This record gives sequence, structure tokens and C-alpha cells, in this order.
Amino acid sequence: MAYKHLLEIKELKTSFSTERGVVTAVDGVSFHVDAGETVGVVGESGCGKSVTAESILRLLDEKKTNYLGEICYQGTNLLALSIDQMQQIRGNEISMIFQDPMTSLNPVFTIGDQIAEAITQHQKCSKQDAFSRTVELLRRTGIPAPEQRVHEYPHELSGGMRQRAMIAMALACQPNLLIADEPTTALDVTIQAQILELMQELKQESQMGIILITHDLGVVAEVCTRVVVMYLGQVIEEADVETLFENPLHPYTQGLMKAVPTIDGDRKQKLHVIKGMVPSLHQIPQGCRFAPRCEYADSQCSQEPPQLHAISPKQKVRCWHAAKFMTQGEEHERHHLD
Amino acid sequence: MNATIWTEEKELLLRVRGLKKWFPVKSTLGRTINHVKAINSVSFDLYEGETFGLVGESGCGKSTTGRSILRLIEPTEGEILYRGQNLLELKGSELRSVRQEMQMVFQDPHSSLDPKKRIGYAIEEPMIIHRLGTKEERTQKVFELLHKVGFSKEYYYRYPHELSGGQRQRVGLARALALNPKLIVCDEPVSALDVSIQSQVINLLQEIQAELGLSYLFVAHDLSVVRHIADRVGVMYLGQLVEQAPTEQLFSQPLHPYTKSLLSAVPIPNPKIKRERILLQGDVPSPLNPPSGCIFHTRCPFAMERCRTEVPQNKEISIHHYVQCHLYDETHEHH
Amino acid sequence: MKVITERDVFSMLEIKREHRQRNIRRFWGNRFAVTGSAILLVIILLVWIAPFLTTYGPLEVDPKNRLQAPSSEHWFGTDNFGRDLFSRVLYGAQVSISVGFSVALVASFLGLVIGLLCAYYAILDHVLMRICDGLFAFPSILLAIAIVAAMGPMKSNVILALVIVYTPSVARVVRSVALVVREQIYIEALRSQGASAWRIIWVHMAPNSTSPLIIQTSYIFAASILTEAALSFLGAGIPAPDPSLGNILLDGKSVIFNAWWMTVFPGVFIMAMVLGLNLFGDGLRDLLDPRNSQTKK
Repeated sequence: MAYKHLLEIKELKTSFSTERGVVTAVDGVSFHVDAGETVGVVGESGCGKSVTAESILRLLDEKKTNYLGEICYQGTNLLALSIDQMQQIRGNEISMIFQDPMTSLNPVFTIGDQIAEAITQHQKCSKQDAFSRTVELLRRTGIPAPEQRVHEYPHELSGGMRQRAMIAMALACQPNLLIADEPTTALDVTIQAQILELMQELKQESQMGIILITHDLGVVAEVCTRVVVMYLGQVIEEADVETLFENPLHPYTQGLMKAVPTIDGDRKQKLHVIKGMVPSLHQIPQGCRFAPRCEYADSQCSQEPPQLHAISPKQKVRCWHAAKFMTQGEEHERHHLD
Repeated sequence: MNATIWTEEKELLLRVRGLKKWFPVKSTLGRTINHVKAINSVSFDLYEGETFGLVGESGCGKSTTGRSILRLIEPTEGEILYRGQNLLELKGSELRSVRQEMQMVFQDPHSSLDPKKRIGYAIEEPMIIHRLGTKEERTQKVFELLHKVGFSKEYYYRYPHELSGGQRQRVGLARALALNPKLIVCDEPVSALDVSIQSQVINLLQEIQAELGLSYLFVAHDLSVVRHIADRVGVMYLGQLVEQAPTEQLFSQPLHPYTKSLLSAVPIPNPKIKRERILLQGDVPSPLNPPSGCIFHTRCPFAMERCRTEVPQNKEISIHHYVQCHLYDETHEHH
Repeated sequence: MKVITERDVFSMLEIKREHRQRNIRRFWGNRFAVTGSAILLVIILLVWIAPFLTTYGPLEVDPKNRLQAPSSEHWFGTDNFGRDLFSRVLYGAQVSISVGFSVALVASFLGLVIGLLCAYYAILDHVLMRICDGLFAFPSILLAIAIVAAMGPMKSNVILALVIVYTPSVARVVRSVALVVREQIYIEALRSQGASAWRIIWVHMAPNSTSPLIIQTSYIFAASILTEAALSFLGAGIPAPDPSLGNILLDGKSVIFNAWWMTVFPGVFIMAMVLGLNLFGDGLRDLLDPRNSQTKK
């Protein structure tokens, strides 16, 4: 067992061949996840956060997809495994939950059947055992009257219940790593609060690692221990959650935080706007990918791409001017102390 | 600007009283066997130049309320008074002329524009429908509107699929503004947009309101957005308006247990703040058979015996702060 | 204030040209559409210049030269009355194309109107769709024979029969698409602006329901060529001595073992026309699919 991290992604590059040429959706992404921690992957649509997650489980159509780099799970490179070996990992060691529980559950089978199947696929046990374990899983995820619910079809459950059932299915084989792709985006806030609470409890119980993909900074602040911010296929900032929210260094991270209205901030103040739009993957800017939209960009930014570099032990950033923001942040803090 | 700005000096634009919409549920033989009580006795006022936010979770009837006011859905019962005229009694040309003053901005930017029509035509069309001006005047107005929502003129000939979600939402706003409305019903106008685009559209909505003195009925599920844009907020649960108050007050001193739990559930983007959360048990009951008495009693952490049987009345606790809850019966009597 | 400057007009025209050029580019990039339209163009051209290509009229009888094999004199050979087959096939194709085209045009128009009205008015939907169900219950060829039998074998009656046979299927397709269109938000937006039913149906629902209709039209064109041939083959179509690909086949049936050319050439023509139309239809389907036309900026 000579591995440093539960999951370590090294310079992952995922590209698709399309009619209009090769598109690199994920371009040199590196980060790691340890057991018992929740890593948030944040970004807007098209930033490559979902593709990164799907690359880990190799869920993309491999005829059209090309992977470079390494995804090391407990020291073994998942990208080098055969399909059969990968099948042993999926759902067993690493599971995934999706945004829309309605389309990711099969409507013609009861939820009990689907969860029991997930168990029997990876572990040798009788049908009866699988079924009683299913009831136990449903109970653990907070579904009331699980003995009856196992016999119900997905459409008979509410959105929150379906997401609980999905989580139960993902946990069926006690995975070491859970990837949650926008697990609460389709849910109401009160149900979202229930599901996030549940995920926290389950993590503490089993010490699994969680990758939480989301666009909601509030959710990140509530449940994550470390955060990876992505923009246009690259990691542009990585830090533990306190540092990131206290002192965001990349102008994009700063912009995102100022752009959302909060429930306790200043009202009626104009919201911050990040100018322009996310460019298409066919027209990636030459230098820093954020330069055309950045208010601090200079000639260096538009010509040379910056590297992701550590600014402190807790924080990495991909920006030429990060050092400047760093001192600003510190000054700001000193100002607060006075 | 702050919450106390709206007062009696502002003129009443829209008064909704006892609005009700029950959708019949039919058996296979065509007999009505039950009703989905989508909205049940909703009452509120909207003043000129203000924004009234309607919040609630999916299925609470907030969108149905917005649509009923424009009579896109025929309400079952109730009164909608627009400048004193009951909209539900209007017909034909009278209704058409009132409709000019009330417009709507929709949630889904992908299907709210006809894919086969150029942007210029989409914005011009409301004026064609109401036979306003000559062709030249209308075209001139379209260019003014394009400019107002931040487009250059060449967008006149673009098709919707060439635009991003945020741009389409701006076209939807320009189209709503074409008839110089007094009231715009915004149905989740930013919930389908990315964060950085969302702030553009919110700012634009506010700028236009300040410039034209419009009133918004702002329907949304995102409490942070509503808090940012609304002057007063109404909270809906299972077809009823359980609490309404000026925004500052509602967010700082929520009274109804549902409002409290709703507010506590919103995640705050600050890892240092750890709040006490009021987690609700279970799911929203079906609007087919809403609970007796107070509709919230099945999930309310403070439910008492009388909540099961007695329907709470709408009480004004402080100026313009209304709540429907038995917890505040006594306090109110003491006043 | 001058609203539109010359520069604006220029950039607007630029956008229009850009759209047009993109559509042309996409057409050339679609193999089905290009092959299909090439086949069709060749056939239409052949039929068009038929009078100049043929030295014999299609009705010229020459009993001495009956059932001649293809030669330099008679390219496709002659039939059992000694008529030049090349000429008869070309004129027959002309009849087929005119029947197919008329049917496709009329059936599409009627189908569009009926389909849209059904999608918009629920009461009309109940009545008209039940009638369509009734028409669907008959095999189309039997229904066409019955109609022609009742009214007499004439070209116009064949067209009418085929229109009656194919309109319901067009109406069905248009209705199913229009029902989806009717639920789109932009239709609701129009209602909120006070737009009339007429405007909603004809200005907005119609253009958004036509892309499957255009495809359907090309298939109906092909299908009515086939059905017309079948009707004529059964003697219930274009009456002799006028040529039609179907009645040439009928004549050829009795001598199929002695004169292969009488069945092969009209058969090849029917196949080529139907193949061309179907390829063209498939190509159109891809071209008109909005998912393919979406170009991200």
C-alpha cells in the first residue's frame, strides 16, 4: 500500500474528436483527494468539471475520447486498466451520483431491485441477503418505511427521496470514493439541506473521500474541506475552504464570489459582473485563458499562459499577478484587525 | 434606498384578493374526481415602482400565481384588481389594452424565443399585435430597445440559436418592454443562467426599473436573489401565502416556522459561519389532499393541537408584515 | 436621430450573407442530400428534354418491330406493339413525376392545415383524428383502388385518390410536431402579449412544424410514384395507351420471359426516382435538424 493519496489526478487531459476537430475539454488538471475529505470542484457550465468526473470513472465514449496523464486510485492508474478491471472499480470502489435522479434510475425496475443488483454485481451474496441489506441502506439514508419503499418504482418517489435512493445505491458496496455531480442542483433548498447533512454524516461514518462537483459557492462553503476552481478546462485555483473564501487570489474566483447575491450581505448594491462570456473550446485564448475577461490583465497575461503554482502551503493559483493580490489581501486583513 | 421607501405615498397598482386555482383531476371516464389545489386564497398588493418577490419551493404555486395574474391560466376564484379594474371581468378589447401594460419574462431562455424568427422581429412582434405605429416607428423602437438591453444594432438580424442563454434572456426583456408596460411578471428569470451571467441580468432588471419606474412581480426559488432585488417578499407553501413582509424584515425577523426553516436552509458562501439549521422532516404533502387546519402542521416543529383543526388567519404583526400562524395569535391580541 | 447608419446596414447584410453561405456549405457537406438531388436532377433533365432525345413518339405503333431487344435504333428495345420503349419510359416517368409532385404538394398543404388546426383546437382534433384513424384502417393501395374504381381511371382521379390516401399521414406528423411546439414557452409568451390564434398558428406554429413536413413531402413524392405504378400495374391507374411506368410494367408482365427489357427499364427508373427522393429526404432531415445547425460562437 504505497500510495500517498486515495485519488491523485496528474496532468489529466481529456479530448474529444468532433466534426469540427479535436476539442480538449480538460487540459492538464491535477488535484488529489484523501480519505475522509470532501473536495469541491467549482466552475460554470463548460469549465470541464463534469468531464473530469466522468474521466475518473471512464464513463465517456472511448471511441471518441482520448485521455492523457494519470488518474491514480490507491496507486493504480485507472487509465491503464482494461474494461473488465474498470468494471470492478466502478460502483464498487468508486461510485457516482448524478444531478437528475429521475433519469439516472431505471423507471421499469423498483428501487429495491436496482440497489440489490448493484450489491450482487460486485459481491457474492444471496438475493435475500442483498435485499435485507438494501432495506438497511435505505434506512441509513433516511428514507421512512424502507420495507415498503423498496417495492416502489422511481416515479412513485419525490425528488428528495429519489436522490436518497441514488445515494443508497452509490453506497451499496461501501465505496472508498464518492463522486457527486451537482447532487442537489435539481432539489429545493430545504431538501438540499437534508441531502447535504446526510452526505456529511455518511462521510464521517465511513471515512470515504468525496468529490463534490457544483456551481454553488454556498454549498461548497458548507460541506467542502478543500476546493478546486476550474475555468475553461483548467484548474485556476486550489485551496482549503477557509483560505479560499477569505482570500481568493485568482480574479475569476474573486469575480464569482462578488457576483452572487448572498443572504446576509449588502442589499441593493450593484452586483459584480464578470465582463464577456466564457469562450468556446474552439477559440481558447492564447495566454492566460481568463485574460480577455480579466480586469487586471496586461500584455504578459494575453501572451504567456501562467502555471498553477503554490503561493502558500494551502493555496495554489494560476495567475501572473497573484502575489499582488496576496499582499492586498493581507493588508485588507490588517486593516480589519485595526 | 432601503426597505422603508415603499409606503402609502406609492400608488397601488395591483391588488390580488382570495386568488384560487384548482385544477380538476379527471377519471378515465371524464368525471372530475378531485382537484389539485395549486393556489388557495392568495392575497397581496403591488405598488407602483416596487418589486414584490414570491418565493417558495417547487410546486408551491408561485408560478401559477404569476400566470393567473396575466390570465394565462384562468383562476377559479378571486379578484385581481389592476388600478381598480377587476381583470377577471374584462373581455375583448378592454382585456387587450390592459394586457399591453402587463408583460412577462420567462424562465427558460432556450424555448422562450421562436427559433425561426430573427431577434428584431421577436421584439417588434408585440407592437404588431397591438397595431402600434408605422413600420419605421416600430423599427426605430426595436433599435432603442436593443440598445437599452445592451446589444449592438446588428443583433437585429441574428437568430436565437446564435445567442447565449443570458443574451436570450435580455432579448426576452426587450420584448416585454416593447409595449411600455407598467408591470412585468418575472418567472425565475435568472435560475437557468450561470453565476456570472445571472448578475448581468439582475443588474439590467434593476437599471431598467429605476429608469422606467416599472413594477416587478418577481417569482423565484433562489432566496438570495429575491432578497437582493425585491422590496417586499411573500413566502408561499402549498398554494398559500404563509408570510409576507418588507424584505429586510422578512430576512432578519422571519416569523412563520416555514420561513425560518427555509432561510436557515440556504447555504452561505462563508465557511466560518456555522448556523443552527432547522431541518424539516419529510416532504411537501400532495396538493391533491392538503392537510387540514394549518397546511404546514405536518412538518412544523412547533405544531400544536389547534394547528391540526383550525385554519390560521392572516394577521398583520407589524406594518405590512403578515403571517398565517397560530403561534402569533396571543402576541397579537396583547397588542 | 438617425437610427440606422450605412455601416449598420452593411453589417446586417453581412450577417444575412453569413447565414446563407453557412446553409450552402452545410448542403454541400451532406452526402445524402447531394447524391439524392443529383439523381433527381438527372432524371428530371432526361424527362424534360425527352422530345429531343427520342426519334419515335411514345404512342407510335410499329407492329413489324414488336419486342425488339435494345439496339442502337431502339435504346431500350420495343414493346409488344412495337412502340419505342425508351420514349415510353421517359414519357411514363414524366407522368409519374407529375402525379407524384401534385400529390406531394396538395397532400402536404392539406396535411399542414389539418395538422395545425388539430393541434390547436382540441374539439377539431377529436373529430378529424378519428376520420384519419378510419382512413388508416384501410390498406392504402386498396383504398386508392376503391376511389379510382368509383370515379373512373383518369390521371386527375388517380391524383385525387392518392391525396386522400396520403393526407392523413401528413396531418398526423404535423399534428404531433405542432403539439410539442404549442407547449413551447414562446407560444405562451405570445399569448401573454395578446396574440390572436391566427397569428400563433400561421406565423409561429406553422414554420416551426414544417421541417418534418418537408421531409415527409419528399417521402410522399416517392411513395405516390410507387403507388401510382402499382395502380397502373393493376389496371386501375393511368389508362392505356398513355404510358406510365406502371402500365408499361403491366404490358411487360405477360412477356417477362421473352422481353426482360420491358420490366427492367421502367423498374430501374422507378427505383432511381424513389432512391433519389428518399436520399434527398434523409439529407433534408439532417440539414433541418436544429441540433446540427447549432453553431456555437
